[in-house]
Amino acid sequence: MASLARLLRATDHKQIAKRYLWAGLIFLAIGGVLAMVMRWQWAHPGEPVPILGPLLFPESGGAVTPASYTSLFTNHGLVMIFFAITPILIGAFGNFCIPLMIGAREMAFPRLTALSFWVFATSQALALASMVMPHGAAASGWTMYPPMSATIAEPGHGQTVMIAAIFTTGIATILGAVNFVTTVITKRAPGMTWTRLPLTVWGLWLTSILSALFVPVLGAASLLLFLDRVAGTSFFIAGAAGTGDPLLYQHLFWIFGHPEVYILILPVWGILGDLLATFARKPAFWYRGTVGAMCTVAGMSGLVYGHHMFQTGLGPMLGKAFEALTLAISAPAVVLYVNWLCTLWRGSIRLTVPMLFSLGAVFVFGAGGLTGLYLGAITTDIHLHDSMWVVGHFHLIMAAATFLGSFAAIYYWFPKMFGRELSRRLGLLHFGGSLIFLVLTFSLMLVAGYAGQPRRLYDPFQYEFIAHLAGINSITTYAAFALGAFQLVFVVNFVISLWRGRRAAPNPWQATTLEWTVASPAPPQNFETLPTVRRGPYELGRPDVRDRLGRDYLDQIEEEP
Amino acid sequence: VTWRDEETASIGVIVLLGAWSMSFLALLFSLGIVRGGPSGWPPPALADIPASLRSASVLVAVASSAALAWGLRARRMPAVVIGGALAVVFVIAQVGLLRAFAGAGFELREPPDAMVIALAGFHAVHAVLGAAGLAWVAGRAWSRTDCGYGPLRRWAMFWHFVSATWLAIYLAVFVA
Repeated sequence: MASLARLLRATDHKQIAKRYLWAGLIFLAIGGVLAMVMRWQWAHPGEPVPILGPLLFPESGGAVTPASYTSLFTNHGLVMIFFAITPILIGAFGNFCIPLMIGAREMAFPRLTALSFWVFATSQALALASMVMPHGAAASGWTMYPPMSATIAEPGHGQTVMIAAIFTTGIATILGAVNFVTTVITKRAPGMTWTRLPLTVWGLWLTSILSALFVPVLGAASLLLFLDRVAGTSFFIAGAAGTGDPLLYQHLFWIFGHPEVYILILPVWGILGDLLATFARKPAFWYRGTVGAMCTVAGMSGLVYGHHMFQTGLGPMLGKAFEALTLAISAPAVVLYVNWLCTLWRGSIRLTVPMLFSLGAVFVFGAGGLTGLYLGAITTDIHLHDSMWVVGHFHLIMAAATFLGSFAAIYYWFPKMFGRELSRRLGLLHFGGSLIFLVLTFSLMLVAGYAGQPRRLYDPFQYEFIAHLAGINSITTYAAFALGAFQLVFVVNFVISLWRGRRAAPNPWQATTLEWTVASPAPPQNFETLPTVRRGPYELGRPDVRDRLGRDYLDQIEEEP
Repeated sequence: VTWRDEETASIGVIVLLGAWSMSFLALLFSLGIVRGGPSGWPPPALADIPASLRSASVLVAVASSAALAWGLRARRMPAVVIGGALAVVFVIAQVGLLRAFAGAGFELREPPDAMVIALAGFHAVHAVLGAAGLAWVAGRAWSRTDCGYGPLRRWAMFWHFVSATWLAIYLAVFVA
């Protein structure tokens, strides 16, 4: 009992961060398994799924049925976005890094840190419960568009409980965002001016602002959808069943949904900025430009949502306006990208495991970004909308880039979190397999989409015009299986290193930011005395310092030699 | 409790209220779309809501916020108490308004009717929370325990939020 009470009462940001990490990794595995079962259906339509089939679909002899297929892709999307990527990138690294990197002993509101985690854990429990509810799990796609998500099309209680789970996780996200925003504003150490903040903190801070602004919109949409399902309202139901407007839901969803892309990618951008500089042994190129670009993207993120609705009958002027804004937002993203490349240019690059994951994230983000331009332009979107091209594009950004960015962060901060080092050899194996099969899996989706394969079909090959794409889909499926198999390397590495990994030094990467000035793992109070920050976070590759100290960097608090 | 802790708490409340106001904005945006829908606007039952009840609720909300703001700025506890009492009156008026909605024959299946009730009900939850919070911190401040003006000021901020959102809902539903 005492340990349970201690567990519930713990408010230390580092402990909470680890809980988010565990919770996110477990759901990453669940989401991955759902994806692989779904992919099996596209490689072997109607055939029993090996191993898991008899457990998951006993009534159909282990084969995926059309109804279970729609549940699979719905839950895969929801689990990955809300219950895996968000807790890892924002919950784990936001809570862990922000106080340590700004020189604070704790978050602004420690009890709120704990509360947000427990609310989030409740939402995860609701999401799991929704999968085993009577009359079926949620099956309306991750966007939960009505009328597919209305009781008229989806009577299962699973859909209702999943909507409640999304509302609950939204509350947790808002609480966390309020804490992060306030912490960065009020808890910075003396001398930690805004222009001395590491890019990771900038990314997490901007993400928190976007979460605070746009997650409540999803909350409102979820609330109205929930009322439609349980209270007999018809906000989103049109036709014989009601006089509502399904498009209203789409507006609300995408007002949240497009900023959500940036909510997930901004922390990765920040992390990449820090890691590329650290391992290129060079200051981050045009720091202020990168910060400005991130702020510009965050500022514009709420103005481009209409490109998700080009096919809904938007007026031509409105469509053109959203197209122009969507293409315009790529300009600051290009600034970011060029700054990363310039940071690498002529750097003394150290190919550590976190650096390799960072380089991989830069590559797939570039590919994902370029393929998105075709969806931002109305003329090409007409052809590509609702095709596998869309799936390939957003998986390159929201899956591959965030996945590789998350693992860059895990490999980088693992020593500071747990006081141990991960195996480099296993890390290299994990990286190589992940990058190759991520790129293969999602690139082939682009090919299938460009060839005309619509998304979300239970058995695409029953249609003659795409029957010839069965081969590509088969290769994609086995690439996805290989991708899943390589994650087992990470699991082995993670578990063994937790207990048997080499003890980590305080600063194993020769990094400059504040968290590397304390012991590994970070002590309970973070800093014995509050640090006074003397310089920016990228004093790397300095020949004068090497002459005097025998190393090429100065951290943010030490005096000039 | 240092001034810096007070400042941190106040900034946190401002960020929270800024975030939460987006949920009301989203509902008001939805109201705008619903008003242009096939059911038309206004809902017929809206005419059955007594004008005195509608106007009284806005006046009481504005008066309670004004009393709280002045009382806290001038450090006049009686004004703060009056503001808190008016907050309780507002909650009672809201209950009366919701009862009037229930008796006026609003149809939940009609989106305009349901949107009005959803907005009023969602707001009422905040009003009850705000009035209860004010009563709690005012009681602690009155009995001169560990609570100073800081918590009162922050609950007053929450109450201003309740008043401002009600004013917006009133304008969107009853006036515009």
